[in-house]
Amino acid sequence: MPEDRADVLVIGSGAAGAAVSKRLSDRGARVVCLEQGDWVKPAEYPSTKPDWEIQLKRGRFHFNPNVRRLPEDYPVVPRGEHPPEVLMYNAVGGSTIHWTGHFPRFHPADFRVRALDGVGADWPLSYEELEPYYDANDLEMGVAGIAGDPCNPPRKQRPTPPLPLGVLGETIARAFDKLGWYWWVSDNAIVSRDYDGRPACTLQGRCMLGCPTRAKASTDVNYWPRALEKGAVLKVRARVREITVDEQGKARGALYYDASGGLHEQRARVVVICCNGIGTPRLLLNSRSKTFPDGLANSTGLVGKNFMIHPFRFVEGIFEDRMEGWQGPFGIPAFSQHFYETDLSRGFVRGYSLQLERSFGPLHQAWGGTTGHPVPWGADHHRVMRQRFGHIIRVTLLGEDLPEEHNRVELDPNVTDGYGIPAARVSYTYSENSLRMQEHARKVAGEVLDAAGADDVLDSGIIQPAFHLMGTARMGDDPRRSVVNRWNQAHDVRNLFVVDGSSFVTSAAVNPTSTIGALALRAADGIWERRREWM
Amino acid sequence: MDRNHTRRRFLETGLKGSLIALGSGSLGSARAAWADVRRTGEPARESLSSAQRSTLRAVADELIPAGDDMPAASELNVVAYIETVLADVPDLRENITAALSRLEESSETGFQRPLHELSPEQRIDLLRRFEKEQPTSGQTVWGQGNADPDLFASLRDVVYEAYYTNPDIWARVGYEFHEARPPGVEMAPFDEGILSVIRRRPKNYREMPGA
Repeated sequence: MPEDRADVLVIGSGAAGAAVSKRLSDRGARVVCLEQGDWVKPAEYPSTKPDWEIQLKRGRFHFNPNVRRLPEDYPVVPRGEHPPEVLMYNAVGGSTIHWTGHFPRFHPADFRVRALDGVGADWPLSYEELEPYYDANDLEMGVAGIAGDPCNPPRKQRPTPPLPLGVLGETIARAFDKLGWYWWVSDNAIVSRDYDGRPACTLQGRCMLGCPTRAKASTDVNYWPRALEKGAVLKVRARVREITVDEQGKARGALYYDASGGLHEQRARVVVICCNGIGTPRLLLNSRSKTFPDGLANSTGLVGKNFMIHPFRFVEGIFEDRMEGWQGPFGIPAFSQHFYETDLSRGFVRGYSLQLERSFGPLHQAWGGTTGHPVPWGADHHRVMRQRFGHIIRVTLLGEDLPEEHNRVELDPNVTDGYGIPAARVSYTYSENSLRMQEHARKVAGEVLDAAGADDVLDSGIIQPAFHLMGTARMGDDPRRSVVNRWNQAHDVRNLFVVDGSSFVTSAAVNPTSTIGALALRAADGIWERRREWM
Repeated sequence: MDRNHTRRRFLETGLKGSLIALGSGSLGSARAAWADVRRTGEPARESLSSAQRSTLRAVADELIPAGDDMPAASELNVVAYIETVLADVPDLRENITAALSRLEESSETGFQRPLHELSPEQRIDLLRRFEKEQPTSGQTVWGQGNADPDLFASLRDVVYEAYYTNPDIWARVGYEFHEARPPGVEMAPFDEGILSVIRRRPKNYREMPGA
């Protein structure tokens, strides 16, 4: 039976869904959010338990839904020449439960990639238009950092001071200085002082297995409690099957399964999809009707296409001195955007960030660390383990991925989830540009680790971990070349919005979450300002 | 309706390689396993035969031998730990027992003796050959989530797991674990059965007139 009609139905409760729900609840809209996962109690996080590292290989907190296989997960079938290892989490808070909290912003030029460099496409909005929303999202999330990064436009004082660099960060920072390369302290959505009811970070590490103190921002501990106070309704264990439409072709609501398998329709005046760069196109493509036989908002055929993940590569330097990478926030104490802007003499267009990162504990090191080189077994085991554990600085390439239509998300014709909904099939192949960028970054990482005094270097080679899921319902002014407009509103369905990494036109060379949050707050304001059209 | 992803559905689509080595989503808690092993010196739940235990013990000590002021794997009773974990993680148990069987077959074929009776050099030789004959690793580096069914890697990694989840090892490699905020002692969930007597008693408070 249809349920009471909401003003706004939000699907997904992660970085985007929480921000939209809270912002619109603040305004007075009646918001209902459907989330396929459940609340996760901080006391249950593996980070509080000494065997936390096992979750990196198996268990209900593993990053890969194909490994977890929980009722709230859905299968992701990887395909392509570089089949991605898709990493996401399904719970209240979404993947912010797992993320490191790294919080960089797009550069102004990232919104004008086609105009400046002749590749990809331009965004229909500018950094300046998004900046107030970046600032607002910073205050909601709680950020540690320090203003003044010369590689980025000036920004307001960060809500809390920077997290400590530690011996690891100080060592690599001195190496960047020695080479004359830019670096800066990272913005992290981890508070270094008591902030907004959350305690300061106590530097325990293990952030990616859940922060039990709430010092790391995840939307279940910051946005959601306030949205609920304002009257938002959050229904958990609600797996949405499809968006329903009325005879005029407007979104009517969503059909969803509850935890017992019962099918319901939640109706709303406006529907906002926030299911990430894979879940969103999966839902749109599965929402087929007489009016929309190829899926909803898909008159261009672009839904699911232009999937982007960011080229990643891990390079670990092994030092004689201890770097104690297992201490302190797992995320990025510092980063370099020296190679961020286009310089065609490097052999590729666009650029990359280098993230200077910490590491997990002894078991993960023995298994192979982030570069996939297990500590050898046998007579050399203890000697090599002593050389590596606690002695490593990791330099991570995060490169700009450019949109290509052959990288795509589709409905798998054979595999379904436990409710019979088709799985997502995700095809991905690195471009030649991305491969050349990775090779350049490998050499640069080796150079800076050498300057820092590393005795040896380990390289992950070509890998495709898909932390960042973007581009599959792109934004644009031209309805023939994009799925949503500059307000994240579907060109084909006026009361349907797509507000997550799917709407990214390009990926930039930074982690996406601060931009997802900023876009979500902006889209919420747009929905509210045009409320007379649908409320 | 079964809302878990079914194993059959995954396997039908060619995902076998990426899933078979990974366990079923159950954890096999190292903390619980070590607590059991420390209390009794025995596995909490048996999942290996006596012969498999002997083989695993001998293999573990070749993978992590004593040296550099570090104990050999068997000195930590890793076999009991592994056996306890395998009882909770059927897919992993499938891999480990397959690996042990292959090694035993090679030992009998090559030396006409069980592996644990071979010399260290013979055991190392067997392990090296077993390692080389595994399929090219498709192992990924972020959490090894899409590990392939490399039986040798499964065996090596579970021995490493037993060794490096043991708190006795942490100080020796310079690692400390700090609980961010102790959640308190573990207690059994509340059982409403304990209320059955008191629930049958009459109310025991005074009604307030006019309330």
